[in-house]
Parts: sequence; structure tokens; C-alpha cells
Amino acid sequence: MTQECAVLPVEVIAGYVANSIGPAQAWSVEAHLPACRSCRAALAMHSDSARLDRNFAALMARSGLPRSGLIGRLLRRCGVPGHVVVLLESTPSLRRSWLAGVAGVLAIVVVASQLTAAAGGPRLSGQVLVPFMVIAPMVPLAAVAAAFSPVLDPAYRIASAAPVSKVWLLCIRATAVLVATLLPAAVAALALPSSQWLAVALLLPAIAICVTTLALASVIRAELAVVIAAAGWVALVLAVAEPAGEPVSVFGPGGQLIAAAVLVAAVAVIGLRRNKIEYGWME
Amino acid sequence: MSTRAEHSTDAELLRLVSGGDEQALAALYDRHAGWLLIRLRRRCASADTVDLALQDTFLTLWRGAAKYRGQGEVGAFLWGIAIRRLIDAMRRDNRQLRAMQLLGREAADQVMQSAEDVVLLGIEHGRLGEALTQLSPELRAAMQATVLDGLSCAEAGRLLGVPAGTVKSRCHRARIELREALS
Repeated sequence: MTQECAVLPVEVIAGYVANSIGPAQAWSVEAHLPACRSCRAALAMHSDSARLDRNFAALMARSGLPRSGLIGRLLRRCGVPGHVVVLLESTPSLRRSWLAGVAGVLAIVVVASQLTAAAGGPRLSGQVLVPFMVIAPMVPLAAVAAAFSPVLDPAYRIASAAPVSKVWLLCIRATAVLVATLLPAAVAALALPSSQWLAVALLLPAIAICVTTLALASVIRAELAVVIAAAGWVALVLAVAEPAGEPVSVFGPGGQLIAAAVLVAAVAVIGLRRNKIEYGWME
Repeated sequence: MSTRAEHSTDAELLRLVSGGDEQALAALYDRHAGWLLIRLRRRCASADTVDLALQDTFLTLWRGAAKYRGQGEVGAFLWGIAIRRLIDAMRRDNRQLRAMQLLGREAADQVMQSAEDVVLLGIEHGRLGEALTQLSPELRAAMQATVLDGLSCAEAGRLLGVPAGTVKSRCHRARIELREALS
């Protein structure tokens, strides 16, 4: 305490604490308090320090709970329930480091395509897109795989033991991860040489690959499912790219139809296998 | 505790706390929890509810849910948060009380007590003091909530357990009585 404030005598403060002064004096104390540091300190001398310590310990325990980041707070503001926000924030592939990695990979691919296009001229335009076509759908696939990986998710055991529907967990996490990774992929596609429509065209195949992987994971081991899906996609792109020289046709009308069919089939498999996912999947 | 946090102004501490600085939180708590606790205690009879409101006040700052915009006293800003957290805590209690009322009647008396907590003991000299003292406890509580605590009529109603319209009419009546007493 620095100096005694002239406004409130010591006995008035004591009376305020003991609730023994009249309402008028109590009002003047309360009107004065917010503005006067030394009177606040004088008043605080009367507080129960054991009670304050107990409350501080409780405060520290409660403050240790995870803090919502900017996006988390934004989601809460938009009416997303708190437990869903926590669930999304604890997803490994929705962390800032992961999303930064996604942006980095896509940037490298785009720059490489641009450089190749500049060097090779328009004749190469189809081939130039091969790296992007291979990588872009892999980005959400890796993110979905990481979202359900016991190695990358420190809360994996908690999630698998939590009394929530695993199918619900699967849907909500996979949806969030797909949105968070497909957006940067689509933006990256806009920066590619000559093929802006790829930004939209890659969405359906990428979603189909991810959902197929999840469907596969309900039948075989999850790691194996990811490897099979990834290898299958790379083989498909290369097979189409090699003879015809027009790899972009994978994303053409025919490709979109096939992707849609695969997606529907995969959703059906997940629907049929939901009991397996619910009870035996995250073991 | 770091000397840096100890020598910071309240406004700097608030900024550090919302940025996740634990030492700043401890320093801010040291400086303000004492008087907030005593003032909160005068608004609510239940010690548990007051404790919870005190913790919630600092948690609100810690989670960055309330931003100090650099205008007005930090003390007034903190009280504005504290009284609202108290209202929230009392509402949660009231929900439990209502459930208890189904089992027995004793819970209802506690609510009435905390709303009319003010004890008339001392008599203050001066005409405003006299006029205030002569107000009925209900009218004075309504004035206290709206004038001293800076609450809206709806918030004051939740604190006192009456509808917002009642708070408004009580404040109106209190002003008329004060004016008559002072003229």
C-alpha cells in the first residue's frame, strides 16, 4: 500500500467489510473503489487470505483446461457446441503445424508446375499437372488418416473410450478435415498454369478417395487401407497419363462419374459396417 | 513471481493475461481478488456461489472472452465482469433451488435472503444518506444494481430475482422518493 487515501477512513472500510455501515456510506465506498488503488488495497487487507488461496488454486486448475484458439472461438461464436469445438481442436490434422505443412507441400507442387510449364511451353501442359494431380488428393487422405491415427493423436485412447458414437466421431472429424484440406488444395489449383477448372474438378475424386479409405478401414487394417488407396490413386493417374498424354482426363466427366459411383459405394459400405465401426474399430 | 508482472499497470496485466501469461494472471489476482471477493460477498449470501463467481471472473479474462478497451477504470471493468459472473452463478444455483423446491420449501427462503441482504444498522448523516436510508430495501436494491453496479434492468432483475419490468418501476419509484426527500 502506498499512501492512505483521504476519502475513506479506516473505520469506514472496516464497517463496509463487517456490513455495519449504512447504505449511503456503503454506496460511497463502492462508488469510490473502482477508481482508488490504495482503498482497494486497504479493503483487500480484510479479505480471508486462506479463502483467496483456495480460490486461486481452483482457478489455476480450471485455467489448465485447453484454451480455444481463434478459430475455436469463432466456431463457438457461430453456435458450434463446446464439446464439438474441443473435439475438432484436438484433431492432429487440424493443428496449425499440420495445416502449415499442407500449405507448404501444395506451394512446392504449384511452383514446380509453373517452372516446368515455363521451361517446356504449351506442348507439355498436360504432363505438367501430373505432380499436382498425384499430390492434391493425397493431402486430404493423409489428413484423414492422421485424424484417426493412434500414433499422432495423443487423445486417441480417450476418444476410443469416450461414450460417444464412433460413427458420429468419424463423420464430424472427417468432414472437418476434408473441408480444412480441400480448401487449400482448391486454392492451389487456381494458381496452376492453364487449368483453373481443376480447383473444382479435384473435389469429388479427393472426397471419394478419403471415404473409400474409411470404408476399407472398416474391413481391413487402417494403415493398409491408406496405403492401398494411395497406391491405387497414383497407379491410376500414371496409367492414364502415360499412353494418352492427357492425365487431366482423370478429372473429366467420365472420371467424375466414376468418382461419384465410388463415393456412393463407399458410403454404402460404411452404412452397412457401422456396427463394426461402432464397436470394434478403434481398438 | 516475476518483478516484471509486479510492476506492470493493470491494463498491461490484462493484456498479458488474455495472451495466456500465468504470472500476469497471478499478479492480477493478487491485486484485485481481495476487494472483488468482499464486494461480491455483499451481493450474495452463498459463499460457494461467490467463490465460483470470483473464479469465473478471472477465467473470463484468462480465456480472452472480455477485452479491456483502455477506457475507464480497470477496477470498474473488473467489477462489471464479476457482477455478471455472479448473476450467472446465481442463475445456475436457482435452477438447482427450483428442483429442491419440489422436495421441500426451505430453499425458497435462502433466495429471498440473498436478494434482500442489505442490513440497516448505521444512520448516515446528510440528506442523501437519510433519503437513501428511508427507501425500502427493494427500491434501494434496485437502485444499487442499476446505478452502482451498472447493470441493465434485465441483468438487475436476474440478480434480484424479479422481472426486468419490476426493476424499472422500482427504480422509477426510488427516484421519485429521493427527489421528494431532497426537495
